[in-house]
Amino acid sequence: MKTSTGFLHTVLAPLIGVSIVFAFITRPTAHESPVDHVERSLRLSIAGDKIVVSYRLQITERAALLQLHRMDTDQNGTISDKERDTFFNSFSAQLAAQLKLEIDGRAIEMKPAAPVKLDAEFGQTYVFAAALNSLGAGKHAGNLLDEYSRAYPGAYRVRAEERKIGVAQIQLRMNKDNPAAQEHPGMMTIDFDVIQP
Amino acid sequence: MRSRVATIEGCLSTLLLAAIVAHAGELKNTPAPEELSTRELIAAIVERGERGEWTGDLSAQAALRGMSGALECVAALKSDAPRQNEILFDLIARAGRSRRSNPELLKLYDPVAYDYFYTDKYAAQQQRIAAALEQDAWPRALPDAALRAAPGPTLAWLRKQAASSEPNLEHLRLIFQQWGVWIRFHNERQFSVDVYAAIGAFVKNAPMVAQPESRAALLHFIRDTSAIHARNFVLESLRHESSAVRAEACMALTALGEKAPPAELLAFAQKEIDPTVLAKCASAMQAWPHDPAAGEAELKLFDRIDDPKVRREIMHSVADTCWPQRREIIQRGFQNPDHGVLGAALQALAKKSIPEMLPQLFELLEKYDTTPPLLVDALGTLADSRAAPRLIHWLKTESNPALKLKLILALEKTGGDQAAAALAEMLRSETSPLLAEHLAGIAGRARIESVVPTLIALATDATAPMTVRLQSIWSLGCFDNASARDALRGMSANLERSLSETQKGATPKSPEFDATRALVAMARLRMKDAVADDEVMRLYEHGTPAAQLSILMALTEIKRDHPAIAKGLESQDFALMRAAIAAAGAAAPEKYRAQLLDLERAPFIQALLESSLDTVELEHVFNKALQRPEDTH
Repeated sequence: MKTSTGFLHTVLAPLIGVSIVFAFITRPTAHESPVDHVERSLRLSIAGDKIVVSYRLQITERAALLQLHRMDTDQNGTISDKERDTFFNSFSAQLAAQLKLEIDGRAIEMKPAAPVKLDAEFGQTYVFAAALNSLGAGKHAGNLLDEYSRAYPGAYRVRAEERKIGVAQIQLRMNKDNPAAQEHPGMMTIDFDVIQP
Repeated sequence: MRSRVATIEGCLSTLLLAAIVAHAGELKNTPAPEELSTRELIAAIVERGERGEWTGDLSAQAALRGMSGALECVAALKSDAPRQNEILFDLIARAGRSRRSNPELLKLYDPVAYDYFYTDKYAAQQQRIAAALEQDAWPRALPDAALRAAPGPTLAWLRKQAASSEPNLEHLRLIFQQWGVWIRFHNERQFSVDVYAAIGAFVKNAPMVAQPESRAALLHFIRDTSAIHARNFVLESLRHESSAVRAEACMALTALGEKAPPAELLAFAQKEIDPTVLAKCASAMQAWPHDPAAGEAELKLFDRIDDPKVRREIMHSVADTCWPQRREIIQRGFQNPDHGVLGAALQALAKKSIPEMLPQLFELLEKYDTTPPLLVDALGTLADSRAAPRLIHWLKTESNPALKLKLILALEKTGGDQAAAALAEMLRSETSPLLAEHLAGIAGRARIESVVPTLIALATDATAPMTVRLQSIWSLGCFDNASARDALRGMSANLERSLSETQKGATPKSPEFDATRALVAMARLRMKDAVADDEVMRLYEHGTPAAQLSILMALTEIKRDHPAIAKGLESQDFALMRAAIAAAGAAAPEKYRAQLLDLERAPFIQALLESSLDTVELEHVFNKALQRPEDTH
């Protein structure tokens, strides 16, 4: 828990945080998928020379049970560590392939960067990372298009990691004019800027 | 004036700035919920809850922590802090819901919950929750918290109460109610047998069975849990002096797996005089839809009791049955129509027709100048073209779109040349998208050849609503003629240009494209255009789940086998798997029989069928696909 008594820290930093860094986007689902409901929350951050996307999918209990059906390759009614890892590694790779990241109009490949983390609300948090390849100083326009959300649309929220002075950071932009958002209102597409000091 | 405005603006700005600064300070000093330890999180919820403030963000975070959060709640329980305990038990009850989940799911998603429910590791915490059952004043969420998060100790408390000469009846009723609902919705995975045993003890507890309110609650609990060994107690309760007890006993008998209505219930139906109890008795009889004795009892009851509430209930009960007295009972409703009895009889007739009753329905026709909705449904179910002229008459004068829809659906069922001509004429001029969509669908199903030009015009009309266009495309697939075939081929070739004209900004990735491409291909498949087979498979493999679902549902409707069905059976998407099972059963049940049986027997499909998660009758879909009779009782 962070505390501060300085004026600049107490007033200005949170104001910047409210208006820029802690940008928060939600959009209602334009049409309800006939399939089991999916919700997403994403957190974008910069770590060293990489852009990192923490991607949490919240599925229904029924969908989670159906995933066990596919995981249980020996059909013995229990899930071994190997079955679990095989399933989630494969799913993570599929998901990474469907996350289309562009910075300055250049496609950058995202790769799984950590094992999936599961939580009690049937949430699955994947971590993906992509190399920024030494971006020059200044502002670089980026976009993240989630093609998986075309198949499984749903509500989502996105936020950028809190800024730190002197290092690269991400600022989210509203994307109401983004053509991808127009053509499939349920599909998640995020516009942002990478600010390189 | 300007200066006053400027002053007000200045004040508002100052206030706004102060509010922002205050809020900003709060934001800065309050860590995000995910940054809190579980103990801090629970403490923060309690602190805010006690101040009556919103805790949604914290509670959402607590939900992610699962039973770890509940353990912190248990640690925070204090005997002298009732307000705090209210909040904590509410959190425990919410977290405890996970006891309904499959153990293998718990192992992956909430391992603490698995240990909590399936090992002795947290037995002490369960005891602490159940200790609250001994208190005089219960927190509101205690019954749920206890049965979910401390089921073993709660059962021990139930046994102790059942053996007591002074049981706490008020508290027991609360447990009965909540545990009954838990079991009725297939959430109980561990303790059903122990609950039955406890019920067996309670039916012998003198204070419990002597107090009508508690006895009625126990009977309801028996019904919820289908506690068959309590049968004698239920039958005895039919003779109880309290009408509430007798009514609950009637309903409890329907849940005990009796193959035929018990003789005691049949006799009861001829002796009871309280209309409220008899309405329950009449409703109970529908639990035996194939048993003539139940029908006989209902017929005699109708003749013996003239209370309209009872008679309406008899009509509702008879609707789905195969009783030989069904016709006679419904006729009684026509002969004694007052106070809504005729309406209930017409509803019963709309469920399943009785052709011999056509003259009586025609007699009714003359009595109505405006559209009578229940009579329209009943006429439609009779499927007799002689009803068409009257339905057409009402259709011409009716302005209510909902009633017009009822009328066109009834005309589809009656069939005949007059109905076809009226429906075709209406489609040509209809402006309501909803009605036009239905008319286009009927035109296809009824193979009304004269509407093909209209369907082509609608399918290719860039200004027509998308739903009408899609339905027109699908219906064109019903017609095996050159103009329909050429139209669909043309659409297939020019689909993207055609849709781009319609949908501003639409691109080939738009969902409308997916759905329309799939439907055009399926319509061609429907008219047995061989080229469409490969196209449908290609669209299935590259389509969204929504488009795949459309394809599988269309294959079910036209009973056509296709490789997409096998793909669907392998899907990990519930909706697609369910649709593929239905399609396999409709198209080639013998071919898919072994695969369907394997799928049904798979451990996690069994787990799904036995859980509360099968909300769309997967078992029924399996039964239909495997051509198995449904267990009607």
